[in-house]
Amino acid sequence: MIRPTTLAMLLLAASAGGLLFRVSFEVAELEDRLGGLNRAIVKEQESIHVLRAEWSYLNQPSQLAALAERYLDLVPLATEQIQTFAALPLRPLPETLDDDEITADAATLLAEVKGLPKLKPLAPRRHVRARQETVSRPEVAAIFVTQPAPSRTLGDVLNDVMKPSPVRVE
Amino acid sequence: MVAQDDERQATLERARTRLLIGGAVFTACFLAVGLRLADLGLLRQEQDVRALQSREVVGQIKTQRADIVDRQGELLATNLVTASLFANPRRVPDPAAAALKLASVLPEFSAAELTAKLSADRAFVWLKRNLTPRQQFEINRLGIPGLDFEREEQRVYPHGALTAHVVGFTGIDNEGLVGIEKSFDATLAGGGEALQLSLDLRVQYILRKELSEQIERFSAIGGGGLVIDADTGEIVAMVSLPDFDPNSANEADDDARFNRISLGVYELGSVFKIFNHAMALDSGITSMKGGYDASKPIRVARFTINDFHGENRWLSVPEIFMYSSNVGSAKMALHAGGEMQRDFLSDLGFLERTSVELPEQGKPIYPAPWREISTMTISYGHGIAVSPMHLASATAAMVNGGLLHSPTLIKRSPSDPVLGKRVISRDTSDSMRRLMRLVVENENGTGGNAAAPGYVVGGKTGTAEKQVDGRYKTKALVSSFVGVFPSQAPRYVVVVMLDEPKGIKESYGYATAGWTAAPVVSRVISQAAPLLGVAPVDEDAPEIQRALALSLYSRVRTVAAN
Repeated sequence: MIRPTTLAMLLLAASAGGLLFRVSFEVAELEDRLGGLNRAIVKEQESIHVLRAEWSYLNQPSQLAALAERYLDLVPLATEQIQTFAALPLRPLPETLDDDEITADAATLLAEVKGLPKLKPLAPRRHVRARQETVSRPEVAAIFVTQPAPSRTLGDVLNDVMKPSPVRVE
Repeated sequence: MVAQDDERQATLERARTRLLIGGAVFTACFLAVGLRLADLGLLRQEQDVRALQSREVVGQIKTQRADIVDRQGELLATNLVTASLFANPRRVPDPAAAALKLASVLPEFSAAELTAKLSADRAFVWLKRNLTPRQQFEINRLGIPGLDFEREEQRVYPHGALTAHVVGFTGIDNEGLVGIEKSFDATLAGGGEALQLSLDLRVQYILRKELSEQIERFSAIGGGGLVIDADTGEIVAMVSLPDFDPNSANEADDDARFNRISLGVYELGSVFKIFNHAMALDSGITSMKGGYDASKPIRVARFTINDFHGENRWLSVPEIFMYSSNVGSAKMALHAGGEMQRDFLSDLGFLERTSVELPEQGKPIYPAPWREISTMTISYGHGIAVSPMHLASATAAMVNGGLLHSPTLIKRSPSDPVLGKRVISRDTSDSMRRLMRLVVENENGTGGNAAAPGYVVGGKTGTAEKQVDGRYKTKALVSSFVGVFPSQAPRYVVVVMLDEPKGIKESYGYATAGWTAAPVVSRVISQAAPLLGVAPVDEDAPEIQRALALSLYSRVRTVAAN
């Protein structure tokens, strides 16, 4: 005669065994996957390594100079093209008011002042370092470039980058 | 009956005790397992996660030899995985047929050669090291039994000849043979982090391009150039021409492999007047206002010391430097004496090999004993042979405020303290800057062609006749120029040396340093200065003029002193 406790015990033992099997298979499967991923990573790193060497090879200054001469409208940077912030002229002010207008009555003056275009603060500027040897042919000191304000914040970009991407295992 | 009952009773009693003991043992076992389970499952979670994470973490792949990169991180040398082909000739069934097939893939071998290799009575024979991936694929496709591949690593230099003399190269088994590859062989062989050099590839390219163009223009047999940070001794560019492709170094001849910058020692001529003047000014035997009679050549025994740009009169100290007067310099050196000269040059490191990290180092040649005639000739750079590397590091000390730094090819980290040995005073260094600026700026100076507008170049020319078999050859010159910029607060020293340039029409037949080496310095500085973060200035600005003003103290009224 089987007592209920014994039955319960047997059932428990059976389910524990089953569970153990499942977990162990799962672990083996995960191990396999991990191994595969690791191999894939090593393979990718090896290709990156080769590509880095190739990138360096393709970046030989002599080769770049030859290509730039052939395809680009660039000439070597002249000393006069390098300027400092201090040497830049100030931004011209909006048209100043005439003497007559100053004597005009306060109301018109106020209206006129309100009608003036509102000045925005200067957009952030970035000093482009004279890292490359050449600058474009028009003979302007084209070394300051205005950066348009980014439409996306740094947070957006980071979120995009950090988003987990599906990994394929071969 | 009673006895039987007793016996039964005893048996039952015994059975029960056994059961009890057995049960207790099992209970203890299960309890232990249960406790351990609870321990692992409930209490140890944190440690487990950590243990898992530390397991089988894939790091950066490790090559057998570390990379070499420039100061910007540009790759100069790396190891690539390749396959090498070997055979077990005993397992190749038909060597002749196999050889024929192989020869179609490896055109550098003839079928006969391969047949000989494949029919050898050995179990292992190399056929070709470092196959290209395409060759490996083709050979695999041939399906010849008895052939196999071995995974190997090959040293690759993506920039080829550009840094050949600095980086050097390795042998077939990736052991460093020359250059940085040799001097850092032990470090590199361990794999690991890349070795970062102080070289700037862009400046290196500019220097090599300008130097090789000038060598061609003046039909020189070779040349060398060096750009060194005056405040730290870091070598930013170093070129010796002719050079070679380190990827096929065994095809290069000895001349191409010869490092003219660190291994070659030359009598560098008048550039030594920098040190002669610095010695005289620093020791106080004379001052900028002093001078020496250079009206007549000096005759000692069978030698005559002449001036190339002869003024034939009394010359002030700045004039001796500007006109590069040998007679004036020799008299100045005699005034100081041989012992002081020897000690001073020794302090500047001119009598020993430099401590740069290259195995190719030339030992300076200097007279022993140090006679009076040597003292005179050494004052203008004859009778002592040093490498251009010596010249660059000593010149840096002359203009940077008086501190000598060992030249180095390894990038200095900004946190490292800059240690230097004081060799001259700050005041003397200031005078030397003015003197060197004079040579380039003054219309009578010999170095006008080194000027690079905006970068306030100063320097000194040096043209020396080469000694061949113990005699000086008038037609074989070593023309060199050592330049500093910007003179008011020198950041870099540039040395350019041309080996046996020949005069051309554009230089009115001259092959002297002012015509050959100085223009290279000008072109290198105007291109490299923006890359090195040196901003151009207005050379006529009052503060710059003031920093470099110098009175000639000339005793001739017609010479315009500025």
